[in-house]
Formats: sequence, C-alpha cells, structure tokens
Amino acid sequence: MVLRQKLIAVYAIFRARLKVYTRYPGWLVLSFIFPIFTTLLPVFLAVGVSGSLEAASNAFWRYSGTREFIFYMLVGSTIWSISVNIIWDFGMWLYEEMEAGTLEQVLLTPVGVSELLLGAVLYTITITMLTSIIGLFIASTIFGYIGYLISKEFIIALLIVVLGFIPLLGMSVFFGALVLKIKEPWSFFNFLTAFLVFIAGVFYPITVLPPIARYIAVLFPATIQIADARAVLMHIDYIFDPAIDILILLSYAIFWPIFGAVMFKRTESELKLKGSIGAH
Amino acid sequence: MAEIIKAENIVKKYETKLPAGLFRRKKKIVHALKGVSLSVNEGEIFGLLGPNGAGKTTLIKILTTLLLPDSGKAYVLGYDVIKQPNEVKKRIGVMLMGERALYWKLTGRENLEFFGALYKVPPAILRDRIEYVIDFLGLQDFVDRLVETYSSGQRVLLAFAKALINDAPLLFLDEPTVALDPRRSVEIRRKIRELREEGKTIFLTTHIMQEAEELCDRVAIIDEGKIVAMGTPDGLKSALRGRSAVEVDLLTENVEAIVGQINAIGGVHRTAWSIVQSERGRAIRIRAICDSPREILPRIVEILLNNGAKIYYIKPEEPTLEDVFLHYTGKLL
Amino acid sequence: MGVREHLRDFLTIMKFNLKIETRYPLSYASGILNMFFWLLSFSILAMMLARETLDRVIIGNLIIWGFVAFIVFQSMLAEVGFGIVRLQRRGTLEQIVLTPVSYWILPLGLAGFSLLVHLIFIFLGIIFLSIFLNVPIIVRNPICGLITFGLLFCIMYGFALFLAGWTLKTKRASWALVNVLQILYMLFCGVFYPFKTMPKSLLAISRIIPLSYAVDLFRTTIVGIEPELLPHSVSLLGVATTGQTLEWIIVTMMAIISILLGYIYFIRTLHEAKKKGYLATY
Repeated sequence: MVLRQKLIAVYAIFRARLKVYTRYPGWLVLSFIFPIFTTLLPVFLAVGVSGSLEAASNAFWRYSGTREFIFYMLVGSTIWSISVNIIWDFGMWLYEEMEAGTLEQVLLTPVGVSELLLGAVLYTITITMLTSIIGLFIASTIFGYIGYLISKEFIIALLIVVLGFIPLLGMSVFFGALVLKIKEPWSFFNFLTAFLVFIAGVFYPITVLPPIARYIAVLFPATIQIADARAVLMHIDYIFDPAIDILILLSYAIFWPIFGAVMFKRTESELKLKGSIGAH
Repeated sequence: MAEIIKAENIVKKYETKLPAGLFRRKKKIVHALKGVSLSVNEGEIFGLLGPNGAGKTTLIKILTTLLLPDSGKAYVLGYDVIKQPNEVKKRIGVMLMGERALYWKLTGRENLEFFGALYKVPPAILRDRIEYVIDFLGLQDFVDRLVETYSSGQRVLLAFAKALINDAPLLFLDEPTVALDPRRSVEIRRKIRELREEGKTIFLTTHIMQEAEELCDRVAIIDEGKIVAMGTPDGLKSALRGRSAVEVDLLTENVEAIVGQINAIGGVHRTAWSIVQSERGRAIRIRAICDSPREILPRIVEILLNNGAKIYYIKPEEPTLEDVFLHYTGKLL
Repeated sequence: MGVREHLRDFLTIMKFNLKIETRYPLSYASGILNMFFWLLSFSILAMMLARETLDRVIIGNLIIWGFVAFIVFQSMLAEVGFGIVRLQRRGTLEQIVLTPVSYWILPLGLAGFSLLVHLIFIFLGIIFLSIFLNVPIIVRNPICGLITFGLLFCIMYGFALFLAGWTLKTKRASWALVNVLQILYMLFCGVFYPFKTMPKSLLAISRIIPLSYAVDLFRTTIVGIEPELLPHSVSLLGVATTGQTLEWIIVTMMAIISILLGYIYFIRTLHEAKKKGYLATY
C-alpha cells in the first residue's frame, strides 16, 4: 500500500474509535477526574498513618527531597494512567474485535499491523493526553499547584513524557500479540497496572525499593517518564542524571517497537496457521 | 386435534435511536409485527416462512416468553405467554438462531447438564436424557470438548440438543439448519420428522422454501410483520392452480427494464428478481408466474436477447411456495 | 416452587460458574497478583510515613478489615453487577431466562459463586497486609463481626442488583459510572484509612453515604472499638442510645432496603428488556 492509502486506513480506524468514544460522554468526564481520585487515596492513607498533613509532608521529604507529596503523587498517577492506557489500548481493541467477530474481517483487508496500531493508538494518545493534561490542570488548581504547570519546565516534562510514547507503542504491540495468543487481556492488564504502580514509583520514589527492584523498575519506560517529569517540575533528583535517563529512554524507543512488531508478526502467522486468529 | 399454539392479533414495535449529531439521538420506530394471528395443532410441524427481517424471530420470541408483545394475546399449551410464562417455559424446548446461546468455557455435555438442571430434569433422568440426545444427534465426537473449539455447525447441533434436553412436547426451532452444510441440513430435517413421529409438535421458522415444503404440515408465510398466507403447502400452491413459474438466471445491467417488459406480457401475473449466488458466481434471478409457459417462454427469451442479457439457464416449473410468496408480496424470498 | 427446587437452582448456577472460573486460571492468578501489588504499594507508603507513636495495630487492622469490605464490594460489582451483562453479551442470558428458573435465583447464584471465589482473595489479603504492615490481626467479636459482614454483603448485593439492571439497559455507557462509584467508595467509605484521618469537609460527605456506616460498623465491631462516624452517645427520637446501636439500626435497615429495592429494580429491568427486546443485545 502506498503512503496515502496507509494514512487513509489509519484515519479510518482513528475516526471509528473516536465515534464510539463520543457516544459515551461519561467516559470523558471520568478521564478528567480519575487522576484526582487515584491520588487522593494514598494521600488520605499517608495522613492517616502519619497523623497529619504536615507530618506526612515532613516524613515524605526524608525519602524524596520534596514536601509537596500530593503534587508528587499527582504527577505519578497521571503519567501512570497515560502509560497504562497506551499499552493496553491496542490489545483491548484487538480483543473487542475478536469478541465481536470483526477482527477476522479487519485482517481480511489489506491493512497491516502498523496501520492498525497507528489508527488505534492515535486515538488513545489524542484522547488520553488531552484528558490527562486537563485533569492534571484541574487537580493542580484545586490543590494549589498550578504554578508548577505554568512554566517552561512543564513543556520539558511534557516532551519527556512524549518521548516515552515510542517505547510504549512498542509495548502496546507486544501486548497485542499476547492478547491474540492468550485471549485473556484482562489477566495481563490486571497484573500490569498494579505491577507498574508498585515498580514505577507512582506514589513514592523508587529509592525506597530494594536494589533488585530498582533495576527492574528502570526497565520500564514509565519509571523514567515519571521520575524525570517530577525531577524537571519539582527540581528533585533524576534516576541517574538527565543525559543517562534520556539515553535509556531513547534506547527503549529503538528496542520496544522492533521487538513488539516482530512478536506480533510471529504470533499473527502462528495463529493463521492454527486458524484461531478470530477465536476468543 | 388440540390447538397447541394460538396467537391473536400480535403487535410488536421496536424503538431505536439513531445518532443525529455529537450528543443528540433521533427516535426511529420499527414495526416488527403488525397484527399476527395463527394457530398450531398438536402433533404437526408448523413452519413460519419469510425473508430476513419479516418478523419470524420476533414472533418466536413472543411465543417463548422472551419478548412481550405491545398488544394481542398468545397461548401456548393453553397457558397465556404473558400472564403464565413459567408454565409455558416448563413445557417447551427452544432453539434460537445464532451461536451465542452456549457457554464457551464449558463442554457440550456440561452445557447440557447445566440447562437440564435449570429445566428441573431430575438428575438420574437427566443423565439418561443427555446420552439419548447425544446419540440421537450424533454428538459423540465433540460433546466432551469445550464449546469454544466447535465449528459453527457443531454449535448449531449442540443448541438443538439443548432444546431437546427437557423432552418437552412442543419445540420451537428458529432457523434450525442455518449455518449447516447440505448433508447436515438433510440429517436435521430427518431428525425433525422423527421428533414429530414421537408425538412432538414443532414450530419452526425458516427462510428456505424447500425446507418448508419438505418438512411442514402447514405453513404461514410472513412478510413485513404480516401473515400473507397460511395453509398446507399444497393448499397454498393451489392458489396458483393452472399457473406455472418461469425462472431464469442471467447477467444483465438492465434488470429493471427487463422485469418491466416481462410483466407487460399478457398472461404474466407477477414478476420479481433477486441476486443469487450460484456455481457460476453472482447472477440475477428473475421469476415470473404465468399462465402458459409454452407460449410465454419464447417471448421472455426474446426480451432477454433484445436487452443483451447473458442467459445462464431458463426453465419452466410447477409453482412452489416461493411463487406463493411472490404472488402475495411481489417479491422473492 | 419449593425451597428445595430453588436451592437446587442456586447450587446449579454456583457450580457451573465455578467450573467456568477454573478454566480461566490466568485471570484468577492475575487478580491475586493485582491485589498483592496494590497492597504492597500502599503498605510501602504506610511504612514510609507511619508515626511511631500512633496506635499502629488498631490503624493497621482498620485498614485490613476495610480492605475486606472493599473486596466484597468489588466482587459483587464484578460478578453480579457485570456478571449479568456478561451473560447478555454472550447470549446466554436469554437461554437462562427461557428456563423456569426464578429471576431472583440467577443473581443470587452469581453472588454465592462470587463470595466463594473471593474468599481466597480475602484470606490472602488479610495475610499480606498483616505481614506488610507488621501488625497482628485482631478479631475481638467474631460472631458480631460475622453478622456485620452478612449485613455488608446484603447491602453490596442489593447495590449490585441495581447495577445489574442499570447496565442491562445502558450497556457500556454505565461502565464509566461504575468506575466513578468504585473510586468514590474507596475514597469516602474509608476503605484504606481510618475515617478520623479525613478532612472534616470530606468526612461530612462520608457521613451522608450510608455505605460508610456499614464499613465502619463491620471493622470497628471486629476490632472491638467504638465506631468512628458516630459519637459514643446519641439521641434517637428523644431516646438516648449509643452510636454503635444507632449504626446497627442504620446498617440493618439499609441491608433490608438495599435488597428489596435492588431486586425490584432488577426484575423490572428484566421485564422491560423482554418488552423492548434487548435481553440479548449489547
């Protein structure tokens, strides 16, 4: 297919998903308030076990270098939410197509994996980024942290997050391959969301984890996105230093898309041989 | 013969919402049944014949208590389907169209055990009944595999088995041979006849004319929510006594013009066309009801040739139920 | 239809749903892992920030039993609330409605199955939290605790019935609402923290939500302390009583009302589904 045809296919998939989304306005509202609520839970827990907001702030500062633990957690949960949505969206879309019996119909068309992925994920990136950033602005206004966001550091933090999209897209394709094979996307998603909360330091710095867990944490792009976005916005420590962190992210940006595409193609061929590509 | 099913003036409308802008919706009403009345006698195979969207499934769902009519009454085995649904459910077996009626993570046998238990078949009887049904329908090769591994045909067979599990005196079968290959379809029709010989009453829906002619003691033809004719197949065809049908398969760009010209021939009563898939590929099929095919056939050939049509075949034949449908509705099934 | 027949139907639905569940071992394992990592994350945070002078054992146990209440809530939502909709999507809801099973047995069977399956989650969750938070488990009033657990179950079950009816009608549009309700429940019903740690303005919201009293009564009864949401002495229609007694009254009434209203709504929605023809559409 020539480039123009590919772009038409990408746009068709993007548009179809957007149409479905706009028929459920409740989802839109939920996207704005989700980061606020997922942050409030650990905040209340923190206050509960330390006795007061001030005590929690002081205790938190000892581990993270900042007393603004609410904003710290807000940044973490926002980026975590974006990362998880990007990783699972392609796989979940594939599974829904399988359930509805339309995946085989889609694969009957000349569309390739890249168009499928780009179309599905373009929608996710657009909606998720838009709603998460708006949600972050709303939450920051409510909690009095808007000053962090109206700054040039916010643009730099945003760029770091966007750079992390490339490896996330690769992970998304890999997840899609898993979904085609194991046909239980919820299992993987259930595990991944919780595991990322723990390992990527969504609510605490990864320095509180044992050494082996810290090395595992750095294998995930979300860990670097979260830590570096916080480092830029709140002037606290990076994981290693800015240059090394970005280099690691760039190397993931090369590795994950290739790995994801290879795994997806292999799985697709294997299932076409077995004849179970549309089964679920 | 006792009346097993009686439907009186059943009306059913569906309301749907169509998108009309980003957040607005427009209401649309679909009239599925427009005053349907029929009766079915004990021990007969009764067919409801009609094209897709005619209202067959809607009617069968009302009679099996799954759907409530907007107005009208229906009685199954003497029980009111609206006021006494549980009494109806205990005494019927139902096979609905489609593959989504089974638990995919259970085996065929487990599905039968589950539904048999819900139909309150006592455990000892259920075990024997399951074995009987497996044997009756030849499910031995796959009944102990998970349903998710079945082919479409196997799922249809299992759905049929489920309908038989409670040994009900009345069976409702919604398009029982859809998704089955010709060999299996013939087998299923044989089984349906065997069930009738066992004393069961069968109400089936179909859009396949040959199936209705072959199986049914009586047929009701339904189109656009209305019963247009009802009677025995021979009785319905007798409405066309003295007439014949001419069927032609062809390729053409001018089908409307050709049909108009054929209709204008004296002695031709009704003509309709549809697109069919045959061994030659996609073709146009024109069918005309006429008085004397001997005289009319050459004139039809002339019209086709004058319009540059490529004729695959043309044949006169005795009227079928399809012609009865054409006679009443002006359409083909 | 006799009690024995209803019991048989109930056990049939439980048994076959359990069979299906055992054929999704990955799903079950991932559920346990999901719970493990969330608890671990919150425990790490708690251990980071816990003040030594605070009564860790009591606070730890309030968190543990609050978590148990959360599991019951989630399991009812997932297996009853969304369980019915899953049957609708698969086409098997119509098949079950075709049988002579009473409509109220189906969600009850799903609830029974759900509780059985989630007992493992509850057991493991209690063990995990006890280890992570380094607190012994307190069960001072096991019998009363069991009764309050039963009442909590009834309230959640009634809510899940309402949700089942609602999602039958609205299909995917209700998923967003359910997510919001889950988050609101976690936030305002004090699942992972004592109520007294909440700011007064938010505690006021908790006091309006009847479910908060169910969680409060359940965990304070088991742990053997005074309820957090009501003062020790209250006056009810001029009669002096304890806050605990009043919570018992509130929660018991809620359990009865919740089940009644839930069933009425669910049965009405099934009836409407039969009228409008969406029993099998999704």
